[in-house]
Amino acid sequence: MKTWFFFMMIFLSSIAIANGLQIKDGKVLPFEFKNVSLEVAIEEISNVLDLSVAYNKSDLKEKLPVTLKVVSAIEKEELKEYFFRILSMHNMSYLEEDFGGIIMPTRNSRDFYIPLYEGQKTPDTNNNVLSSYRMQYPFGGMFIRNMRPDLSRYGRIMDFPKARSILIYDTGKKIQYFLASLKEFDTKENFDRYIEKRKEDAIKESKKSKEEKKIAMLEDQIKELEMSSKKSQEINPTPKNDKK
Amino acid sequence: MLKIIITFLLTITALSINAREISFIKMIDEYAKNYKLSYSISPGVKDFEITLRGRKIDKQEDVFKIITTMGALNGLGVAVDKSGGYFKILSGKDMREEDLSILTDEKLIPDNYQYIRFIYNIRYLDSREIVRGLRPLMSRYGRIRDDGIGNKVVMIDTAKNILKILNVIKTLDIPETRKYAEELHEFNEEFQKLSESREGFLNVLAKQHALFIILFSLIFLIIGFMIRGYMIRRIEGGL
Repeated sequence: MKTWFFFMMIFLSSIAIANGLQIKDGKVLPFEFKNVSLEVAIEEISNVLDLSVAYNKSDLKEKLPVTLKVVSAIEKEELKEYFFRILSMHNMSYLEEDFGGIIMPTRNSRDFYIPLYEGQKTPDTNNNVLSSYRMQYPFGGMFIRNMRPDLSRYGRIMDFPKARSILIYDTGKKIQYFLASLKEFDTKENFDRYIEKRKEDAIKESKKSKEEKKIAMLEDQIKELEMSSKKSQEINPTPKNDKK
Repeated sequence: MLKIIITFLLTITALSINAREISFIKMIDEYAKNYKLSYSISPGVKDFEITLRGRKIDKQEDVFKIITTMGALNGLGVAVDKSGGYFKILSGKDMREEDLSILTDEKLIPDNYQYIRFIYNIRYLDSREIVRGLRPLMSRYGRIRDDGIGNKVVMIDTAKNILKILNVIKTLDIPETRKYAEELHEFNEEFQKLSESREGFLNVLAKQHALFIILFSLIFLIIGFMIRGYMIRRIEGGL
């Protein structure tokens, strides 16, 4: 009897969870996910948004539970944004299709179709998109070098100097930030400063003897090697008790 | 007995909720059966589980889209025969050797992740530069190369990823890029000239001192002989 009651409770609670999200007058009523498994959250949201969702069973196996509390009624589009945010917290992305979408690890999403937006038309979304920006002045290389550390873990930024364009792959929200920075960066004043700096560097370079240039080149190589060895140590740290 | 059966049924119902789980190979088999298609699966292909949630998918193209996407996500490739009645599943890395359909018209690119070969004419930019720049956007087993002569780009990749790359190419390959490229060339050349070493005479002298000692010795020797000759002639009354 006890066992029967236990399974009955599991069954009833699963039905209760499945009916958590409700819609009234086209809006999603306030709801709460408290330590709900990611799979249940996906089920709930896909039912409310009337989406078909597919994913690799193994990709969601060891994901941590979701906690989300929405206190006021929200539009369906807003719920979709919460959905993208939940997924991105688990390093997952949503690949939108006509029928719904595919959920996949963000590191793999770069291999799939991502909509391309032109600069300011990039949507303010938590999902990953691709955006292109045409610079007014040809110094995009400098911008991408400075901004690379601000990218998300699986984000990318590429420079096409001959087309005077920059391509960014990241969440729409992150791209908005990059575009705002680009707007401030890509000005005549900054470009003039850049030219001055390059001229100064070029003159300094011209005064160096061949030997000095060789030394500088070797020093750069040493720095690069040191950096790469530091990175590899961070990835594969040596065990503390590993005494030879 | 009845109690055990009810308990067992409740357990199954409670655990499955609304999800539908299906093996990749079973999904292919059901799809082929429903739409009377032939298919083959390469011996190295490993099966995996797919979870489907939400609204049921019933359209043929949507089911095929899921098959090709999940295949690509798991390192597999789907190649469709020209007739459209047969498709094969094989490892993504073997796709390069496959006899894939060659497309040149963007409108004919399928809206799924089957593998295709696509050739595109670059109009304004250099195809070699496009190839270098776009390599990071190719999928794991996708390939991009320039044809060497005709400023064309040849791509082997999933159809929708090729669509993404074409969108990028079209954004970059515009008439203004020629002007931009020329300006950039002039700009870089100017700084290149400025940074070239211009060593002063004294620097050269300091570095090549042995050569200069020999050179100056020779010059002074010649001058010495000339003065000597002049003096002798003067003394002997020739001048």
